[in-house]
Amino acid sequence: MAEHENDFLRELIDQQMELPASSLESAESDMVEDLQRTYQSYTRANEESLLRVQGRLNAQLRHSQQNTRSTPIEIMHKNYERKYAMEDRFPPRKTGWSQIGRGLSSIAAVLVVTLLVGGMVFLLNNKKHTQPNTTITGNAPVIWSSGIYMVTLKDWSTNVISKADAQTHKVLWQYSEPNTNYSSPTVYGNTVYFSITNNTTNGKAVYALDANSGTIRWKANFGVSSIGNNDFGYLTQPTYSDGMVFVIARNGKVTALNASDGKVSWTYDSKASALVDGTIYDAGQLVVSNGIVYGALHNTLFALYANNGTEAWNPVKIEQNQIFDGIQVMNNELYTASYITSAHTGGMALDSYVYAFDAKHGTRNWRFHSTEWITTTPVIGGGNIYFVGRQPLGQTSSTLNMLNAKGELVWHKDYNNDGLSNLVVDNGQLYVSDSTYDNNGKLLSYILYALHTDKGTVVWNKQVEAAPVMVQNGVLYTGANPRQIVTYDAQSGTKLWNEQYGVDLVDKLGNHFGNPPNFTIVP
Amino acid sequence: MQQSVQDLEQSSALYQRYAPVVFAYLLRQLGSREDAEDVLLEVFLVVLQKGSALEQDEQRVRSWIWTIVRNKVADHFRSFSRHPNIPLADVEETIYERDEQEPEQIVLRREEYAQLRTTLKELPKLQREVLQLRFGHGLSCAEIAQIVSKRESAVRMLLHRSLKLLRNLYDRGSAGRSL
Repeated sequence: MAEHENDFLRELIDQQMELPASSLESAESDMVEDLQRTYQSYTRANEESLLRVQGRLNAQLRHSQQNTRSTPIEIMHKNYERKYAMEDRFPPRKTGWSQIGRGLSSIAAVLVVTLLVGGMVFLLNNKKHTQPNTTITGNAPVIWSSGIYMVTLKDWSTNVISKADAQTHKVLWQYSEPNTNYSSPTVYGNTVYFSITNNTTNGKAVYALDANSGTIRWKANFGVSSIGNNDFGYLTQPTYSDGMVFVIARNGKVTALNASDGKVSWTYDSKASALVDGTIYDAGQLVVSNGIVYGALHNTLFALYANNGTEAWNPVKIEQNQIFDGIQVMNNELYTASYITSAHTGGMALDSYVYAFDAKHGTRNWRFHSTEWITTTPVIGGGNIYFVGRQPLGQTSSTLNMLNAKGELVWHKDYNNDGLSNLVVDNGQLYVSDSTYDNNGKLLSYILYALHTDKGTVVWNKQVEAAPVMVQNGVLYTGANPRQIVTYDAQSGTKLWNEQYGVDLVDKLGNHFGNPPNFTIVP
Repeated sequence: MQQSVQDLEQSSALYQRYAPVVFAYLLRQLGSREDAEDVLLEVFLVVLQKGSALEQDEQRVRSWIWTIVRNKVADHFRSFSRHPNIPLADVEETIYERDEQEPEQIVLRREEYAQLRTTLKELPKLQREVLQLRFGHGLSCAEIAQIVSKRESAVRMLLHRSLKLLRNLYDRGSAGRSL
């Protein structure tokens, strides 16, 4: 039995348990995190008990106070819930319940955790947007600055946004600030828009850069995240339309900025929150179509006139325990999906739905029920809807599905794997990657498929560690490990070129962080 | 029970500070989550009713709250004439919330995690109880000491010893994976 005399210190054991990541070596820290995980459901039950009692206390207070405004207990109740959000979503960072009770720099601590955690989300979430992030309208000729726009890591806490030449693929400029996280870039004309969160100041903002030089055109500050305002930081990737830029924050507030100077044009409070039952579920990027801004957060779907932020129709609410994914709008139909909130336990129901709404009026055309988790936005092609359902518990598996325009299942393909990538549809072909790992985490297979959209049959496949991102002009762009963009001829699967970006970061265990860049292409 | 906002703020601060440890104590004493919740409510209703008493120094307030707690527990037993056997929570597997984000890293730790859960079940009851109070309730050594009626230094030593024992499961790559 090996000895570790200096690992756990009797005198400091409380502090070490509260902050294992910063006060212990990796093995000890891992062990503490696993202990926290082991008791996770029990802890949650205790937290729920405390919240229930708070609720009952609050009811007593309301009864006696005859006062309709929020009582301090209610405010405190919300603060607890926010704290749990950080803990539930990221159990390894979990700290004791009583840490809040002891007021351990609670708001500051939660903010720090929020930002750390948000950073992790950004870094670890290899989500590939498959929907357009700009709406091109208006009469003035637009001069586009072609190139590859991407976000990569500079160090563990700092992102870099950069542009590479579309032909040579070499980096032309880079922009970065210390301790910052960036959203995916949105490019319109010769301007790059992105959201930023500063991990030091907790400030968040939208930036506009000159796409040719990488210099700042303007930045719109959204202030410092404040738990008291139900604000957990982070803005979605900006959406451009008709001289305006739109973002939504985790507190449900939509902001429209003038794209030329970053001045706020209007704001709208959706009254929804990313915090649901103790977990943060971020909104997808806003979508603009025919002068209407569409967004969804938690179980609320809304539509706003882009020019003034007033509601185009009354917000749609679905079941409280359902979370909307991102949105696609096509031919006046709005497509989205929702999935049930995580119960953090095995055996939980995974009820999910795919929806089609009338985009003009907000009425629901149909809803398709699935017993698998649909946690990524469906994609639309040729009037059909494609989505991935996941069985994340036990023997993991995934299903690739196609619905017709009436919401009827046309075909599905089952995969006994550890996950399917996001989907890309273009020109009668559906692109997806399928990955499996062994029990030691070793990659067993990673296959990139091109499928016929009508039947799901394979057009071509390649054993490459690459996930589809977009197709432009017959070129399939993929994000590939390590840190690469790899392109293929979309029809034949022939490899065209690849380029590696970012910095080779190595963690404490010697693992190389090989995630591909978060990129968009302007041809 | 008409109170000022200031009273309510003080009460809510006390709830934040003391409810977790009081609840852990009640759960251990009463053995029923529902009963523990009911008694916790009763305790803090008393705290709210005595809002004007909250100006006292912290030590006196703490002592006062614990007096209420013990009285309420005694009331409970008088009412129900039973003293349950208190089971420890099962050590159960919970899913990794980040599975979908970094499966390859999670899988690497599954073996250690499985060994940890197995070993936890084999620990003596008091050690398991201290670990449960620490990780299931998030209590400090001082708070645990109050619940298990031990000195803080004894709890500290017990927790330290348990952690060192479990620590040996995490010697990655070494031959001595098992205890």
